[in-house]
Amino acid sequence: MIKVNDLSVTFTQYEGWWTQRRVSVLHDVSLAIHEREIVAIIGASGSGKSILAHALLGLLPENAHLSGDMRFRGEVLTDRLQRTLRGTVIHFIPQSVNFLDPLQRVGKQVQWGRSKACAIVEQRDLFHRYGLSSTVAELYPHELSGGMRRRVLFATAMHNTTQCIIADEPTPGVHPSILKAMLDDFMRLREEGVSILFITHDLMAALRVADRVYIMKDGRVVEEAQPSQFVGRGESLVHSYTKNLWRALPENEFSVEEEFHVTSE
Amino acid sequence: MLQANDIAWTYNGKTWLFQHKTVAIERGEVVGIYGFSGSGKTSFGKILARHMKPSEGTVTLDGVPLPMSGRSPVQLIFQHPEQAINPRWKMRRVLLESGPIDRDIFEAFGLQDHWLDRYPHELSGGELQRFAIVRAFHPEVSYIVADEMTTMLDSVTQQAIWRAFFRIARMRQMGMLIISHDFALLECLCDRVLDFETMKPL
Amino acid sequence: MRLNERQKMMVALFTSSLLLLLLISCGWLLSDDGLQTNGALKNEPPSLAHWFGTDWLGRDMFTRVLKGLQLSLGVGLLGAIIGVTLAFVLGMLAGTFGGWVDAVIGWCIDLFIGMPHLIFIILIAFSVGGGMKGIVLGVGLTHWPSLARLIRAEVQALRQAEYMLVAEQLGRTKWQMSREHLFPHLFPHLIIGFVLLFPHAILHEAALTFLGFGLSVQTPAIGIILSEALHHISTGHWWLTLIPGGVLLLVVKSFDEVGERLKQLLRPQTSQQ
Repeated sequence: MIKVNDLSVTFTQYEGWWTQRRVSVLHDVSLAIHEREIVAIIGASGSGKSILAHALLGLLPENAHLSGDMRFRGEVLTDRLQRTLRGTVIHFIPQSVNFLDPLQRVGKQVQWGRSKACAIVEQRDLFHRYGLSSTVAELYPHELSGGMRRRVLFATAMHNTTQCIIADEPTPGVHPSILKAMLDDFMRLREEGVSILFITHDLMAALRVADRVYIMKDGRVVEEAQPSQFVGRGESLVHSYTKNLWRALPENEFSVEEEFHVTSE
Repeated sequence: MLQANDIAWTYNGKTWLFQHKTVAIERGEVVGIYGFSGSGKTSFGKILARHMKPSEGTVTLDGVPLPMSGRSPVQLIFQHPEQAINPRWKMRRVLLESGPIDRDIFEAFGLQDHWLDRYPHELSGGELQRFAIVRAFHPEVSYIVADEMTTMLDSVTQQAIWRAFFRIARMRQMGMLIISHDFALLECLCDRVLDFETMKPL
Repeated sequence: MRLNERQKMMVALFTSSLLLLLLISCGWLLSDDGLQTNGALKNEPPSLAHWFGTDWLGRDMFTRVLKGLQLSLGVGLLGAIIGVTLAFVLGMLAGTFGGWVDAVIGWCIDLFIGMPHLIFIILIAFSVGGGMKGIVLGVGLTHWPSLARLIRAEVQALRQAEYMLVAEQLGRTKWQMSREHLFPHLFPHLIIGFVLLFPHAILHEAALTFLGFGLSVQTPAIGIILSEALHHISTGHWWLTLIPGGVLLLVVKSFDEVGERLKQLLRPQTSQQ
């Protein structure tokens, strides 16, 4: 469905007043999302995983430069194609809750882009599923808590026309029952033929639903793994960073031999 | 002992975000609070660190109310270090805001001297959070409230940060309140874990 | 050499500033001789001796325009100082204290933004007795609201910023926090507000004088030049209106350019583009 080959992204920034320098944020990232597949990208903040999502959707700021190749069903993802796909075929669940329109009631925002006949019913169903009471639909984004806004954002992406969802950190800190509802939705959508790119730093949540997992660190994909490889002490994982990531989880040993060192320079 | 007595909070005087929250933390004790986004646990943390006045209830330290000015003996550490650090300042100035820094603490968190001349946007989230933590360990601090302190970091960095954090905190007999949605993490770190909904042990 | 966006911007900034400086210093250096009436040199079109031509009394238009601009700049400077000071003080008060202080100031802001500027300026200028004082006060007292609103919003946002909370829990006093965090954050806004107030002040000065509510006819002001020249527009002496008007536009545009460029440079959202 989506294929990315050797994608690199650099930002130009200014050093002092005059000179420009290029900061590289993604290095030769290659990955694929097949039809009817949930692919997870795991990485810490600053690993470049959000940049990847924004690159796929064409949402990078002006000072970004891309090289490499991105394709959607074999077609090169140009600006124009990105614009036509975005919001119809590909839906985005952004990390920042600022993506909601501050001047519209949230119920309305969830109804956008749906057929008139069933918009209201669909919106009510979605609110019910994510534990939002019916009065919430009449509120404006600033009247909602961060967690509620996140659930609204999640609901906006659930459409009949959707063939692909790119979810950037959709689940941080939500209640386990809400998390379960979101993950169940991912799996249900996969059954309905939707492909999902699930970007998160929550390895445990990713392993519950993902068919494949990419591990990102410092702008590179360091490993592609199957969820089944994350067992025991992670012996079947290849990269040492992935192993440590797995072992350092509080659910596991919470003890890798990693400590901060003062490097002398 | 840091005590929150029957704390309640409301934005508008009508709907309560939470009510009847009582907790007591001894020096040297590690208490976990288990809650989710939207439950008000961040506001609770801010109330404990005197950033907000509770709508009801009191916060006391060893029986007396927290002093309202001067360096606070209760330091709150936020989830997003990039918001807790002035983006216009170099890291040296960020640290100096807290006064002279103990070299041991500086080194325990693996801070590099050459980072001091950088701006916040030139460091990673994990590096910034370490600065934010080191800044909180001034000599008068006796309690730390950590609100989702390592949620945005990878598990390797998370683990290393907590290890260093505990080494310093234990050495100085500090009390800690750790707020998180990650139950497994709280279980690893805390002497006891309370559910934020009921304030009962889990 | 290919310039990057930042360098292009700096060149534009530099050129505009240079142009303004040049005009101001010319006004200083020119002697008043050109302002004398001279019956032998009536209505001369632009030439090498008289770059902008002469008027119906034989006065050198180049001298008149530059002296007029100088006056306009003086008015602009004073007006901008008054406006920015007002905006800063009121914005700080509203943002810091909130409550009824904020409500009252917010009401004033809405009132001043809702009413047409020119009517306000005329009323103020009239009530203090017109002249230079009237224009300066009129411009200054009417041009603070949008900047005040911006300052108020920035102060409010910054008071909630987590790094301010941290500063507070690290024992910084209110004054220290203002000096170390708040002022450096607001300073660029004030500079931009100041520069962008200039073109407004100059245009209003010209407009007011043109309408006859401003300066007396003896003063060499752009507004006077333009309103007088209007009587001669049908005589075919195009240089009497076209050149002063063009110079006025150029100056206003230059200030605008400087202000907008600075804004782009100093705002973190756009500074990297």
